[in-house]
Amino acid sequence: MLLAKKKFNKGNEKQTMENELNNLYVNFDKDFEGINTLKDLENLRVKYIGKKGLLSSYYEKFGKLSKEERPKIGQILNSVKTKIETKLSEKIEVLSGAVTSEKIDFTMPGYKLPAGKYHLITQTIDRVKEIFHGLNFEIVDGPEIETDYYNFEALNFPKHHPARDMQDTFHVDGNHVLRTHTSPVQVRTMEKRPPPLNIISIGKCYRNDPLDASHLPVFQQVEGLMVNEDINFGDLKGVLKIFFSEYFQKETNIRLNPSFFPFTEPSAEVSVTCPICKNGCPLCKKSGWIEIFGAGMVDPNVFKNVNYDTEKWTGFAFGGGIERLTLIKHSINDIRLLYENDVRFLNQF
Amino acid sequence: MKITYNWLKEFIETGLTPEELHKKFFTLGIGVESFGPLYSEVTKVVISKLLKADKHPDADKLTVCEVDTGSEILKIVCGAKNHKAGDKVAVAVNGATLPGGIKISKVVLRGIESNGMICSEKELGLADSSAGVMILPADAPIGKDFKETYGLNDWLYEIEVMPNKPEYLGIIGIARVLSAALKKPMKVPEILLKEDPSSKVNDLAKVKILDKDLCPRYSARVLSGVKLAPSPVWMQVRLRSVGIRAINNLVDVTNYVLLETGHPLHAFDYELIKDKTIIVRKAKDGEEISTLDGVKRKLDKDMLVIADTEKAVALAGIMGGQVSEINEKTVNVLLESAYFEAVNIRKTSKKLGLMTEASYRFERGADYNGIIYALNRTAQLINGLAGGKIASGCIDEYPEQIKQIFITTRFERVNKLLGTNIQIQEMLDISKGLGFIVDKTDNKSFTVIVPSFRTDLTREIDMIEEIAVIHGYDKIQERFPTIKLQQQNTSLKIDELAKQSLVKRGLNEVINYTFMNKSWFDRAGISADNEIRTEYVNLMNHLIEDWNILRSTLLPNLLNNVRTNTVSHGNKNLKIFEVGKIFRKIGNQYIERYELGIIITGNTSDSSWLQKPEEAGFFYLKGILEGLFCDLNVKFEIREANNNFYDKTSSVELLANGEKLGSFGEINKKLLKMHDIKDRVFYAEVRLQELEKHINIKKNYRDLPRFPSNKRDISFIVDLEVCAGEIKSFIENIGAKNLEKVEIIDFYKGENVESGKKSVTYSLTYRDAAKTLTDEEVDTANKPIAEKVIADFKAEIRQQ
Repeated sequence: MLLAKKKFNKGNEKQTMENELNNLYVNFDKDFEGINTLKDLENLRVKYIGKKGLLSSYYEKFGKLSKEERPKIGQILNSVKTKIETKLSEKIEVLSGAVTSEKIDFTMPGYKLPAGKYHLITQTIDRVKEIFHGLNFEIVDGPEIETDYYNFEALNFPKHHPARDMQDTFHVDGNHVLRTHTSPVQVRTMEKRPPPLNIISIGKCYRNDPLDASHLPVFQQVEGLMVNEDINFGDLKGVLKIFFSEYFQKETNIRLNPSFFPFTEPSAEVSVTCPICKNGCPLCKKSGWIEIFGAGMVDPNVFKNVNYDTEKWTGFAFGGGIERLTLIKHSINDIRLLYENDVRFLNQF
Repeated sequence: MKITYNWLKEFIETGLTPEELHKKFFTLGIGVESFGPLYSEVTKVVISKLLKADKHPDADKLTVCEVDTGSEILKIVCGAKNHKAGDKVAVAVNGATLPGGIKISKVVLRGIESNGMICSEKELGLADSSAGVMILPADAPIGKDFKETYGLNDWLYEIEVMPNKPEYLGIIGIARVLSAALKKPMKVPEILLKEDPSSKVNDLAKVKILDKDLCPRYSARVLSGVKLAPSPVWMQVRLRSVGIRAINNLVDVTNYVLLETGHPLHAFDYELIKDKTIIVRKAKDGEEISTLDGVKRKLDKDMLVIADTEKAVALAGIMGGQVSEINEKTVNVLLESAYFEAVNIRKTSKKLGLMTEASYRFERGADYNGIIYALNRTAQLINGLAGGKIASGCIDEYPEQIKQIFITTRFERVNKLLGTNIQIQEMLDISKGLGFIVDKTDNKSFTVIVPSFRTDLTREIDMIEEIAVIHGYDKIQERFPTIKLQQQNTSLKIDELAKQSLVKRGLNEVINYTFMNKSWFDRAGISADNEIRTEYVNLMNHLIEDWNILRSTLLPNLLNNVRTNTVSHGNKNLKIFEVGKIFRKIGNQYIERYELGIIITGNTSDSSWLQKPEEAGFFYLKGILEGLFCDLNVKFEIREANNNFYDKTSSVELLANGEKLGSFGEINKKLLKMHDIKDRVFYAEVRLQELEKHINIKKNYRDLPRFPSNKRDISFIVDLEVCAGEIKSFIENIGAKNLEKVEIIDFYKGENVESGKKSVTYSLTYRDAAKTLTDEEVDTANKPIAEKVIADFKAEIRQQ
């Protein structure tokens, strides 16, 4: 009888426990609703899941259940406990101010962090350097106040030759000028180093020109020189094709037209396919081509001046304006904007 | 050099349209600066005959004309006076257009209807001014289009001639290169001279060359009985088209032949040459000549003149003299066609500041054999236009034959250098086409004689270029060179490192022109004895008045940047820097070195709902500099100093290892006022190349601490004169056990602190590398520090 009762009780117990636990949670929910302070919340926690709380007594009872009963009741017990704990911890955050129930206005602007900018010309120079570094050219430098010898004579501009009229020159004294191009750096480098060499020189150059939308008395030039045993005119085209395709980030073709520079022969005016248009635009004057660099094979007279063997070594040189590269890439129509240093302009790039 | 399409056509039938020819020029290296149709504004102008020219009944200055246009009779009211019935005139009929946007339509002038306009040269764009309407030759065909008849339907090319291509300064030279490139024959006008057998030039004139180096060859002819008159319309139009004013049939012909052959000629009034003797000699020092432009010029003994037995009559190769000028009484003419040495012409031209069509050509190299052709062509044209007789024979003083130049070119070298595969036959054909005489060939090379019109060519490379141009640069295949890789120095230079550090910290880079004006020193507060001001680099020549020296300091340009940004453009909160060269002249040495200039004004950032505006002042700037030094691994040192452009109370010098590298502080108000700047401005300058010696950017790893630190904050109240930094160094140097770091974290003066005193709070961090420190250990170390500071700085502890 006792055994039978026990058995009955046990079965009954399972039923009752399930109901009781459900009721317990319903009661908790009711109590929870009125809670507004952390203190009340703590009391509620102690009442339900504290060491001697309402739920704890069921853990004792749980121990007495049969093997078959345990999984189901265990599951219910745990789920009730988890639900209570979750609600309590969420409420703690709310009451302690850790979260706000208010939705944020995400259209408000973000924090303004200071952002420094390199001048646009520096950005172009860095880009040009990077590309030529990739082609194993080394960057070399030279003075801006140059002697007549390095700026002209060593570059095959004889004294009293009309070629000197090609560049309006600033004179500092009888023998010094402000360099009119970066080409003196070629000579200075070749004097110091035996061939072969691949060099790039970038820097300020000066021409005594008026200041207008397309001329500056001070401008920056990039100049390249490659000397080796078997360098030809086709190599010049190839290297420039790589450079311009990379610079404009677009497959670019090179066109050479005959020109004249005292330090190269044959000399060429370099045009590139217009980086902006396909069928003609104002930039290329509807021709599809833009004149951009001067170039040519190094004149043997220049090699002679630096004691290079003109039979053994050949080389090409090229050069152009950093400003022009910049204007074309960013569609800027007035070169003077570059040096006005209006931060509204500088911040655009 | 300007040429027209139709003029060139007389020398070569290219078979190209004007546009195609324009493109062809570029591929031949003949740069075209401008290109376009000529007289495009002139339309519907018809050659007409003036039938009647009666006085206007109501206006004295007007005539009422009737003209026959070939298709109708028009009544036209005309304001000119030089016309009479029977004249041939150019009539712009109703609907015609003329230069300057003029449109012809029916008008009523003083009550009489006028249908069209009788045009003057000026109205047709053929002259700058006209005295009356243009009277056409008697044989002008009535009813024909004026433009068509007189060659106005043409295209103009303005050619940029490179210094190495003097041959392009004449149409023949351009025709020659086109002929070689297009493989089409060129036509040179044939010389057919009707010489007068009864007069011989050698009896009429003599030429003596006293300086054969400066004048290797001189040829002359004498023409007698010429009739000076305006040139025919076609010649006037042609000269006008290329920008040359028509004067008379003598002068016009010399200009015309100059443009055709590229060779300068000169015509003297034969009667004005004393003893009929031309002497080519150097001027005497101080000798004077009045040139054709009406300027009296003083010569020196290096200048070459053309003289008679008495005086200089022309400045050789540059400009004629007034004394022997062609004038309205001229009937006998001595024509000069000579070859002058280039460098001397250039020097004289530069010295006198006189550049002419003639000097421009001579200094680039004329054609020493072409002078005879040019002379004969001139004589022939003058004879045709002005009549008279040509004395038989030609004076040709040529004391020493100019040596021919031979160039040997190796076939293989041509293709190796160009990266081409040009056949031997093509090289020979190109050379011949350009006027070279092939002297000899073998299986490896060929030798040419350089023609007299290409004196610029002397070397194999010159021939290679000639071949490349005619063969076509477009046929050169691109190739990617195979090179041996070489190590390069790619580490950043000091200027790049500095830029990087400052951009990272939110500053904007600016780049200024490297010029400035001497007067800007005052505007930048640089005192008279400052080396910046005493050692600047002067420019001997400059177009822009504001820029007469190279900058010796970055400050003036940066102040200008502040003004344009804040005052002109309203850009507040400026934080900019420049890294650039400054220039000095020390003794005879020019120094150029990189400097850094930083200038800030306004707030640290634009204010926003999250950010309160905070002034970017002295300590903001100091923070930037401390950051820079930290990036470069240089210990930051400063000391009190003063410079004129700073405010007296807030400027310091910047040092590294005791070496002075620059300064920073607040720009004084007086300077700012000169620039209309109202806000406070802070400036720093650093000599980068000197800083570079101290940098050490290789950084080694230090073990990270494994045990926690323990901090103690102490606030000291000290006299205002005591420097917070001194106390910091003092604490650091005490050598307290386990003291890792001392930081100044607060500064206060005001309420609760006695006046004349300030409170500075130091945070001291203790750490032991091997264990966790106990509070007792830290307190033991910390206590004597406070005591020592109290004793040494008369400080007291501020109780929180």
